[in-house]
Amino acid sequence: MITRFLDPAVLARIDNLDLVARTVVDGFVSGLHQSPHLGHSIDFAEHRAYMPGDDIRRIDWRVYGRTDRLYVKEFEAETNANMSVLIDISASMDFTSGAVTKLDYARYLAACLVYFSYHQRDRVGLITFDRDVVTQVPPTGRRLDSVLHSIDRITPGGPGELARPLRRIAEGIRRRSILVLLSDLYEPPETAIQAINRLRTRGNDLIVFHLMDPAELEFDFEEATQFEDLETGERIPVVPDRVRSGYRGLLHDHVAELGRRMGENRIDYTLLRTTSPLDHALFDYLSRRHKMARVR
Amino acid sequence: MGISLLAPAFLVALAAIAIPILVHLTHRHRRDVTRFPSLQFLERVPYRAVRRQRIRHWLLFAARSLAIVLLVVAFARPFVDRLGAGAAGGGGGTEVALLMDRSYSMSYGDSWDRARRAAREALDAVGPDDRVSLITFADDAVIAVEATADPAVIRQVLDTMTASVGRTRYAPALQLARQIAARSDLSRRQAVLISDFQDSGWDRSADVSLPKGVEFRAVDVSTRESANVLVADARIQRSGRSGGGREEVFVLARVVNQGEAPVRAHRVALEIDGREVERRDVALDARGAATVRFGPVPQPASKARATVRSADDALLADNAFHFVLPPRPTVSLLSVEGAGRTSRRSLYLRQALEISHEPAFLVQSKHGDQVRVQDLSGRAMVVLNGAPFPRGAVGRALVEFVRNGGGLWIVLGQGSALESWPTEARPLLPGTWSEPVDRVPREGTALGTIEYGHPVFAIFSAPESGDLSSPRFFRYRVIEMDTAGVVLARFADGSVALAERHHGKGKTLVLASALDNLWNDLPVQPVYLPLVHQVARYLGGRNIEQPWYQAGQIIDAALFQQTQEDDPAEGAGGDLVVESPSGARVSISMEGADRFVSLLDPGFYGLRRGGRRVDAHPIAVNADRSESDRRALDTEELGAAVTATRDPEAATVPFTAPAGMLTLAERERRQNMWWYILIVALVVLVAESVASNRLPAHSARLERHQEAPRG
Repeated sequence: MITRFLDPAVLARIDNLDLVARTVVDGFVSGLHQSPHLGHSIDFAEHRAYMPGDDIRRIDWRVYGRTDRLYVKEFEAETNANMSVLIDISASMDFTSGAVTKLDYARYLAACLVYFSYHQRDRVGLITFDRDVVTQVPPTGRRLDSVLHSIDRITPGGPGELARPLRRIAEGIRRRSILVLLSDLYEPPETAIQAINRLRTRGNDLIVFHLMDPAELEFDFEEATQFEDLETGERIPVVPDRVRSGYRGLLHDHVAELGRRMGENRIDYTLLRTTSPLDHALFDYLSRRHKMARVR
Repeated sequence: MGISLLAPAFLVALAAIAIPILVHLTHRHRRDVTRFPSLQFLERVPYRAVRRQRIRHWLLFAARSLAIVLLVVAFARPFVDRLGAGAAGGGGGTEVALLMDRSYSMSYGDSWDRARRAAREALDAVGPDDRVSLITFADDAVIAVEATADPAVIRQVLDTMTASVGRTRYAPALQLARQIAARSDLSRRQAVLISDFQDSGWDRSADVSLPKGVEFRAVDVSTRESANVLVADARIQRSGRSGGGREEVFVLARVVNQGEAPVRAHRVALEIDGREVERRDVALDARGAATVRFGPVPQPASKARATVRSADDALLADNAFHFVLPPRPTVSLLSVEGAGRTSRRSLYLRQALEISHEPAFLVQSKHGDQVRVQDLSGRAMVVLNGAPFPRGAVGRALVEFVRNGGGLWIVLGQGSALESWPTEARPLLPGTWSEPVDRVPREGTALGTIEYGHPVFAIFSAPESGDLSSPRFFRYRVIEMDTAGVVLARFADGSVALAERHHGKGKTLVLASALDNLWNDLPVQPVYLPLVHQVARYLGGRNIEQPWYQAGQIIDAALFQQTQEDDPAEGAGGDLVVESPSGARVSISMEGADRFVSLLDPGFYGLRRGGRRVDAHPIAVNADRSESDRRALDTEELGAAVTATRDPEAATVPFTAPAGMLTLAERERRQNMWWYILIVALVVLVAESVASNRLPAHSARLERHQEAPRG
């Protein structure tokens, strides 16, 4: 009943990423009965004196430090918020047991999110990383095509790491942003949370989509073979029947721990299978974006 | 006479016989490798290398090689050429993309049968070297059959296929055809579009061009007849209460005749919960419309499934319009007025709130001195419209009302003196206010700063979604904010225009000016209606439920879960299953990706829990009415857009197979030798599988026997 054109395996037949994004997002938006415009996007305009009732978050503390008087920032409405998609392109993302690799899925999802946000009048940007930042397109409100083109050109990188690239990304963010991280999060939860938490500087809102292939989750391999680590090239002999339950248990604990710690750190976290229709992820994003719009 | 090959190029594939040899040789030196993202969770277990079984290798190697040879020969399509003709080939085949419109307009009259006939005719012309793909489309496009040289596969699919309930969209289908053509290695490529060619299905801004050299053929299966009567919309009009005190509603249905001939006495009926409650005959002019009014019918006690059904005609999908008849307005408001004529002061507010297809707000106005404690019962919101704070028990009940989750909107008019607010009511206020002031008597002032992130103003944040700077405010009260209050909007001079404070579970909004058109011109501005609605939604604390959805929409299953909240008995255990109008059932959960439901069929979706129907919140779904608009598209214009990037000489051509190629092909087809060879190849492969499955066990036994301690 829910077989739709939005199935990633079907989308994989379309070469044009712009068309993929348009197909998914337009279908998704037409599926909503309300306009998804989220509003509340503001640009700094000028200062004015603080008055009781003003949101204290808007007090400009630097001006206060210089003048010893309270001023609040006035903003103009209807401009853009910043939204950047952070894609983990490490070699482990180049895995699939079906039609779509995790990296391809990340590309489709990133294209859809960017396309969707761009039409919300947000500024959209892109950062890819493996052990370090590989490409960086600063948030722009004008060049959707260049962002989509950059997504289209993504190729798998080398071994991955979260701490170093995310620290560099955090240092480079100059304005409060919505950051959407797409990764398979093959790091110990403690390390991953520490790395991701660095992105919270400047009050950034974080949304993490944890991308996993069904074969990684189920480990439904049959043949006893050598298993080769995509990132390190290390090989070990594995008899799937013998390790399956242990593997599933460890992975389940890993995912549960990630979810718990993300929740504790107020980071929106969603585990996505690469077979999940993309509009489900868009729904998640939209509902969280709505929440952010209310609390910002 | 000799053996000829229809596709000798396939013999190149004999090189594949090297594959088993390579596998055999390389297998000696390395084990199979499964590439995996990360090994960090895999327990390291010793890999038991199985000793190579050389006897099995030679036997299996021979079987595999024979199978490859047979498969290659079969694909080369051998045949006995009694006429001594040379080998076939030269010129290659044609890549055909067959695009089949499945939108619901195709179910008009015999359009669907004509479309299937046209598709079969196109398949009849397909040659043995050709490949055909079947793309079906409506809202979405799907490759129903991947490229195949066997048209029988597509015929089989066509036999079972029916028109959908989606609307036409040509662009996705043509995009898929472009993908197929672009990746084809055949020398000729064609796209055959079979449709009734509705103008509404073509988005002219979409890129539908096919690659250079692709022949495009449009097969129009529409009928000239245009007669169609549809139910375009249905809405509820509340009529107040009957003599028995029960609330009643009218149902207004819009019926449209799209035909060129007038219709006399067309039958339209209203059904509630599956039973016909009223029937009307309506006369419709050619290309005319009429509104049919049913009722009054008693307001149902719970949500009812209502359908306005028109008499059957050539297009069935648009004859029924489904909607949910809700039990009562969702938000009940009490407007408390100050001095003066109540009707005049609340005129704009009442008008604004009651203008709705389905009244979401039930407004009652009373003078402040006429309000009783029981008047607050069942209310979601109270408006103090230029009125002082009620005295005595009513005032205390109002404070309690807000603390328990009610909404209070204080509109500061002439009678809103701060002195009327007792100390115990002050926690409701975001600040204090002074006497009215006229800042700019002639020109007035406008709203300056607005918190667009707040739910009240969120809908105005998009460009051209409402100009909040247009209302002019001539008189208002200056609000001095407390620290507990929050400013939502300010006038251009910085004074507070709208402020909020939360108290207990409820909230209070204070507007610094009045809601009549004396202190400001807000009530006569376009933004007044949505602004008042937003305030009422926000303070009323409810979302307005949608009476119907469009086929293709996706909803959150939480819409069904209201049953748990409304009736705990229905929240009992058991799996949640959504049942579609066609009877299909899909399990859902309230978390994760399974919580989304695609509404694909027109009718009513219901919820079952533990095998039991819990239908307190059915969801009505209707087919997209834009598909009923059967205005024809100019196929030449579409053809020009599709072939826009091609050479001028590559004009749209009829779909025919090359005659010379067919002669050899027909001879080969009559003999069908490839089919027998393929069967032999399959038998060899089955034998190989059986042997390869048995040999390891045998070898393992041998291995254990050899390893067993002797003596």
